Amino acid sequence: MKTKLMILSITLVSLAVWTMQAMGQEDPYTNAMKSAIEMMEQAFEPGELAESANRFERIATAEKNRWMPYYYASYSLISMSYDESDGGQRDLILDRAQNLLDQAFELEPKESELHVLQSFLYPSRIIVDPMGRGMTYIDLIFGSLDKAKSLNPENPRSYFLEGVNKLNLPPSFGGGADVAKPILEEALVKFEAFTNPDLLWPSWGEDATRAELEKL
Amino acid sequence: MWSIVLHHINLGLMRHISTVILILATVSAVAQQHITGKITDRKGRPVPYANVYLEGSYDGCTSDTTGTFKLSSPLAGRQVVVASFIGYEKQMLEVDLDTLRSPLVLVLYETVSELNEVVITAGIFSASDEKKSATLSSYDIASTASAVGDIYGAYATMPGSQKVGEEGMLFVRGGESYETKTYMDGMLVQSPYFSSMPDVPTRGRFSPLLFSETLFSTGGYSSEYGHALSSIVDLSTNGLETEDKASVAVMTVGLNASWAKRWEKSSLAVTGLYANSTLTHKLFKQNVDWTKAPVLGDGMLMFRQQIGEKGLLKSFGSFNSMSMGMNYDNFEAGTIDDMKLDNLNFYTNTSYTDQLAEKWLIRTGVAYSRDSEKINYVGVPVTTVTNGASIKLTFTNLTTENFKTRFGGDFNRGWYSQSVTSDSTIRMELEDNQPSLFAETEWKISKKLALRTGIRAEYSSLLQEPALLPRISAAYKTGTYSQFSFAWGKYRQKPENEYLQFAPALSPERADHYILNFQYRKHRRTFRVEGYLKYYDELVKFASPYSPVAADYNNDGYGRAQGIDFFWRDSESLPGSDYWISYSFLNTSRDYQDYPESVIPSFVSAHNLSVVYKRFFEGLKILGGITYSFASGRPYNNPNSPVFMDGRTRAYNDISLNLTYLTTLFSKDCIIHLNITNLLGFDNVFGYSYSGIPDESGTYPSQAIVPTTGTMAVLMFMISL
Repeated sequence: MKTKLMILSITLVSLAVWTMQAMGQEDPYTNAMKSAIEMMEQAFEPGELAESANRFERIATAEKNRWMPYYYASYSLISMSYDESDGGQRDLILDRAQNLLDQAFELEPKESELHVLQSFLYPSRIIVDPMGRGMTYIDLIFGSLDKAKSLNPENPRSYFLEGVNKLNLPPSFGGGADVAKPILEEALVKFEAFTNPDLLWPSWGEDATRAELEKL
Repeated sequence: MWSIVLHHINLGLMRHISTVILILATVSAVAQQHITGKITDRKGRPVPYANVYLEGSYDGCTSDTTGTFKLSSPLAGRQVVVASFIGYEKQMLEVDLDTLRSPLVLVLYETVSELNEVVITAGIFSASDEKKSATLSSYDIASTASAVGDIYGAYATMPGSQKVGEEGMLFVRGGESYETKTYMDGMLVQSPYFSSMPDVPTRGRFSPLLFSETLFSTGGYSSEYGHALSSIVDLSTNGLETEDKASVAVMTVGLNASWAKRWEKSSLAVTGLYANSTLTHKLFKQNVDWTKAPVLGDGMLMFRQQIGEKGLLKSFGSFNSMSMGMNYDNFEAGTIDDMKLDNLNFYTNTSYTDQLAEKWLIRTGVAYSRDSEKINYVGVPVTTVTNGASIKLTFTNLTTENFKTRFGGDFNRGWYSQSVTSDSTIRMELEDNQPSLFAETEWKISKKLALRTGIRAEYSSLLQEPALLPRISAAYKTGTYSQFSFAWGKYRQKPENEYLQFAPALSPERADHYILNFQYRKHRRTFRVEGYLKYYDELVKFASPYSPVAADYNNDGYGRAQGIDFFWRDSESLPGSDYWISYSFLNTSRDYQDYPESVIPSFVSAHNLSVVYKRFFEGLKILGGITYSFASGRPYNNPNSPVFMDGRTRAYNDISLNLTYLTTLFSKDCIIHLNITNLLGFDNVFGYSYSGIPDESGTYPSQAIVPTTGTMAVLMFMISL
């Protein structure tokens, strides 16, 4: 009887401890972020992306010391801006996206992913006024990508965006398919080797890299 | 013994179990509160995609396309509901979740952004890459075909400026070229143009690529600016370089090399230029008998250092040396005069901007310039040295979002000397200290109405006439995209050194500006119309040019200018294209210098038109630009006519073109740039010179003053290393 009771109590104790540990690990922040990231990955319509940005912004306002909610909120808005046809409105969205990204930079100025995101924002600015902004922003795009690479040479997203940007640039500007292909291939190698430092880490770009390579 | 141990285990176990049960109970038993409501704008229209949440929690939702939201939260008691949306002010409402039953309505107000805010635009054309209210970008300045990379040339395509081809300087709204002053990073630049010879157009010393923001005011400018009767050009140098870069350019007119390095918080840029017109003179027929084609050596250095969070120290230095020589056709005297020019110019400017406290901004700077010009005219050397030192301090207080105050002062010290050596050396010297103070407030009375009032106090140790100069401007929005602006102000300027050296007792020249402006701006289309009135008084008059007698000079001159300027820019209707059209009508007359009466001065054309078109040809990978300029005939004085200044030249026409081809060579970015001015070879005439001696029939023979060259082209090849 005593032995049975002891086994039962030990089982119960471990169960309780395990439950608490598990609950401790899946804290509300991680839970909220995970579900928001899942939702973002399903979002394509501007409205869905706005909703996604809103969710991350809410987490960001409650968790002011973490860069990821700002990062994802900014990422959602930048994605959304590419569908906005009105230049003035697009600039407003990008102003907000830049503001969120700046807050992330303040927390983690040396994070390679933030510089990648910065280089993802600039092309959308160009579309508003290609002639007026083209020259300046093309420099800024590649400047941000160089920075991202120097901070983490293994970050596959900087290679992906470099490849895509080179692809969109006419050969006379140092772009084109021939230039872009080896960069995208390198991106794919880096994606396959990349291990996320934690489960909320940005993971976009791999499928898009494959899709771009298939088109070449 | 065992039982005691077990008892303890049991107690510990029970505690754990109860904790687990408690947690589970809390999680499942918490009642979810539902808050419903609607988000609208101030006109009651639904705002979709707004973020609605409880402050400090993750709990929230997004409003749907009808503006409706439904928010669920386990929180209870008093909470703050926040609603936010891009382009609107955040709205907060405190509610008690325990008693809240009815749906909420949250009204969002549009943020006053740069695009819809009321901005004073009277007399102002700004070029900026940052500010969305700007009319131009710095790329526009650099790529205007007729300007050939000159800032002043680009602003000459804006309404209000006159085409005066033989000068190359800005002439604004009936004002002389000296009535426009240039500021760099807030400080007065003594010699912004290169030295030149008679009827050879000059250009600005500074490349448009150095500036991220420039402002051109054709009148009614703020009390921060002084020393200018008609107009100011304010140039703001670039901030930190974005990246390391180096390039070399080979041009038909010379060589250029530039290098820039960026560190974490600082950057350094160095540029060297050597320009020589010999080849151009061989390729394109010259209307000037050059004895030495213009040669220029130019070095520039820019250092930037970020200090703390918001502080930025900018240091700029440039040095250039220029020389040229010609046989000047002095038709009036009937002689061909040998003339040589050597110019050395040194300019340095260091400024510092920072945020002192939450609501206080500071901007301060020092500048020094030295310009030495040696002209050898038929063996007679004339050496003119102009030194200037400036110091300036400005504070801005952002009292509230809608009220700000700026005040400060500057101190400009000038030394000037001119010596002429023929049989003996005559040397004239001037020294002047000019302190000034200014203060102005900018008040956004409502979202539609803005008012700026300012006052400037000026003094000159040489002229010894202190003055208080009030200036007022206002803007009123008549719709989302349209507004009226008004400006009024008193301006004054010290007479030019070439008069003061003989007559130091002269008084400052004065002008009053009245401007009314209407602007309609939607997205990337802008329409502006601006009417103005300008009264001149105390303009310098003299009996004859270069008279060394002080009594020959007085301030009895006066004048008036009135006109209307139109501007239309459309950057969105034609895909890949961008164009602007400026038209100015000017009605002016003045009695100044040695004029016998008040007439239309010789630099004025009543109608000025500029059409600037730019396009990117994607298939050809070429950026192209073309400009057309027209100016109606200018007055000239014909001594054969009894009426002073009643001659009119024929109209001025110019078509200029530039093409930029971007490519890669040896995997380096390259640019090939071609700029052609006066493409169709119009025979332009700027005026006429008359001989001082009549011919046999008693008439004075004339000779046209023409451009130094007809059609001209510059080719450049640039490679980034």
